[in-house]
Amino acid sequence: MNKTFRILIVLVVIGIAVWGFYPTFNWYFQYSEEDRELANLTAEELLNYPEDRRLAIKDMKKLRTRIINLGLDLQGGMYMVLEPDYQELERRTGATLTQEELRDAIRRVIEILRNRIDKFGVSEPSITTQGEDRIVVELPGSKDPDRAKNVVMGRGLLEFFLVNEEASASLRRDMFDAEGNLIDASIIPDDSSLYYLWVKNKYDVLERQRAVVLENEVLLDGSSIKRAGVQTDQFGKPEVVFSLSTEGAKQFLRITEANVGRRLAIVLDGKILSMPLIRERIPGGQVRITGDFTMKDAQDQALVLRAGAFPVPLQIAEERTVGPSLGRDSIQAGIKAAIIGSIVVVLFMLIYYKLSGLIADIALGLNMFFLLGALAWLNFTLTLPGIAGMILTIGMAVDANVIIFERIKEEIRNGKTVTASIQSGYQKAFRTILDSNITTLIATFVLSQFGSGPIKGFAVTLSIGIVINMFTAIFVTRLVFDLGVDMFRVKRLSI
Amino acid sequence: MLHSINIKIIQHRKIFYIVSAVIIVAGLANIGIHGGLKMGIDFAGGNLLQVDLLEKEVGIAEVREVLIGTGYGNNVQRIDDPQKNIFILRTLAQERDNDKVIQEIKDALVDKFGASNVVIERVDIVGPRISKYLLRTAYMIGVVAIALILMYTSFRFRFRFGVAAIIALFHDVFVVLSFISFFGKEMDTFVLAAILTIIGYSLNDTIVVFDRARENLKTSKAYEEYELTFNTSINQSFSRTLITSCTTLLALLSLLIFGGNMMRDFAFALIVGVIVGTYSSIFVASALVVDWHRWKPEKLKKV
Repeated sequence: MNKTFRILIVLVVIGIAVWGFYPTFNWYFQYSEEDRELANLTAEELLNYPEDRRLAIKDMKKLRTRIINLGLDLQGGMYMVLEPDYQELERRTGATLTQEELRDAIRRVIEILRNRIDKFGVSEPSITTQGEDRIVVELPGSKDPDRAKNVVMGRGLLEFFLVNEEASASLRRDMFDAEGNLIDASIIPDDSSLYYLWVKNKYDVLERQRAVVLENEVLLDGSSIKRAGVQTDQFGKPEVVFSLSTEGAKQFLRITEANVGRRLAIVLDGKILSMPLIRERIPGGQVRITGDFTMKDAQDQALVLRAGAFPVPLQIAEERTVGPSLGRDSIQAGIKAAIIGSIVVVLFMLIYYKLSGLIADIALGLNMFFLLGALAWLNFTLTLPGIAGMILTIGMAVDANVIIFERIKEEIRNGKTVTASIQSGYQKAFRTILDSNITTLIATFVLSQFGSGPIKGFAVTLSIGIVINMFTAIFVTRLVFDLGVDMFRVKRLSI
Repeated sequence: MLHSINIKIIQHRKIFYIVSAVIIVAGLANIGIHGGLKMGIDFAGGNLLQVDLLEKEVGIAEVREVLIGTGYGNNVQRIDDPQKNIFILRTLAQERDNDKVIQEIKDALVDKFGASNVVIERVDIVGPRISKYLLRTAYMIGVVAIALILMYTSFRFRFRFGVAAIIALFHDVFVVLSFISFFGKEMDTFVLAAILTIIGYSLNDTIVVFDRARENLKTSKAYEEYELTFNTSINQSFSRTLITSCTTLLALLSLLIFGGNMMRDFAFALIVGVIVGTYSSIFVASALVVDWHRWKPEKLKKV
């Protein structure tokens, strides 16, 4: 291969790396933190922005799919594995699930989770299955892990309150400012709080309609709901039906008995969605909500009720949560260690191998740059062990060059010319380099199958780093040597 | 410089056998005394809460009191960072509702020290089913790795060299585990990852030496002086082996010192492994081949 062709290859690879890495550079260094936050907006919230801003934000979302992501241990966030609580299930229903039922239940749980997390607005949430009966939920960058967990587990999401009719009736338009917020909070009695009724507008997005005062006591929450759906009465009018667990049914009986004639507000995530009237006491935990709604309204309501409850009780089998402060510390430490490690290795090579050491250092620099490019192309998630893998790559990458240089030195000592020494040096070293890298690759390949996020990150960065190393340490440095010898007619090697 | 070294390594191999034996026996004894290796929560299950108590002047005893108060044991450690006030609280895994355990401990800490002083840095919950799954996976990985390495060495090396290389690898793993035990560190997924990496690295080193030996043994004269040839081979590879270990260690030292609390143990295991791996490639692997040859000389292969 002649030199021009080889130079071309190197340039093309550099080009590919730049192209791959540019989005990452763009994302982390050219956008501010606030801008990046905007990419987390849900479709709902986006509608609050003007058209051109919306397009810009959509572009940012697209950009985010092409960058190196930060793992949970670097940006903070929550990783949870949920599995069915078989004990609780047996206690509640006295039955066990068949394979089919289990599969179906898991599917529905995932749907519910997606809905909840969508509303929560987290960057790139991920919900996947693991094995037969486990669900993995990842919420990166979660600033409030407690709230996130409650949202996922559906606690406090769906709640039932009694309407405080007196206080609600006394609300007048002049008590609210231009944005619809209450000016003077003291008019709300101590045992109640202000909520708003939300209704779907013509874009099918929830909109604030009017203010209602609700009593503070949480009468029931979503975890008591077993099933919810829609049916039609004898006149064909749609009604929403839901059934409660044994505990919930008992509670509901007490509530309805004591409050016939009052309205019960159904509140989802702090928004009132409906306020049906309690017409009679309801003993069996089978509840019907009737009203003047369309089939679609009824279905929406049933969905909300269903969203409050999992078809099977779940428990947290595994959780790894990292707070944002630790995430920040970790990434700073990782980068610091990587930079210092690089400097030390670079200096060492310079001192020991002089000018050839410089060539090896340039190869190392390219090695790491190509590594970052490769990770960007893979839309890789970088973790702290991943950074450790890079640092280890830095230490091990120069090995190939050490092997080559020592051989070249030996050939020179044996009396060969510079050109011949370089040639046989590379030749003899090639087999050894290939071999020694293969063993490390076997080890990292096995590791990468372990599946657990952080370690996998380590294995991937190390293996890609080593593979790229074979290109930079052999192909690139050889090119530089050949160029040096031919163009600058070097007679004695600085090695 | 290094290329003209000629240390009588093979000639003094008894010393190195003894050193290795002592470390491994001491390590195994230490592990035995402690009833096995200390397992991290990945493999034993459990709950972990890492909390930063900010500016509050707190002793570890106070934090331990809080934990004891919740009834979940007394396992509290302080992170080795003088500028910070970070504690790690651990409990055993309950059969269920582990996140409620964490919540209770959190509430107890807030009660005692005030909400503005308590920053939860990290929470790890590993339920019993998950830890069993991780442990099983770890064993599987170990077996697969051993199988692959065996296949590779048998095809890459002549039989004796392969066996010697594998014994050297086992040696490395045992020494690393011994050091883990000496320093009271836990066996978790990081140590597992370190061990696998070190296996790859050590085999790497051993190949370089054996390649040299094989090259040198091609002449029958060299073959007659088996011992001497091996010694020369080792010395010839010295500069390369030492320098590579040097650069790797420099990088790892940077990770150990600057990489933060989370990576410290990982870096430690890797550093011990790199040192042992280099040691075994130089002082152990070749010695084994030479002794085997003395016991049962291998025939010179006429290529």
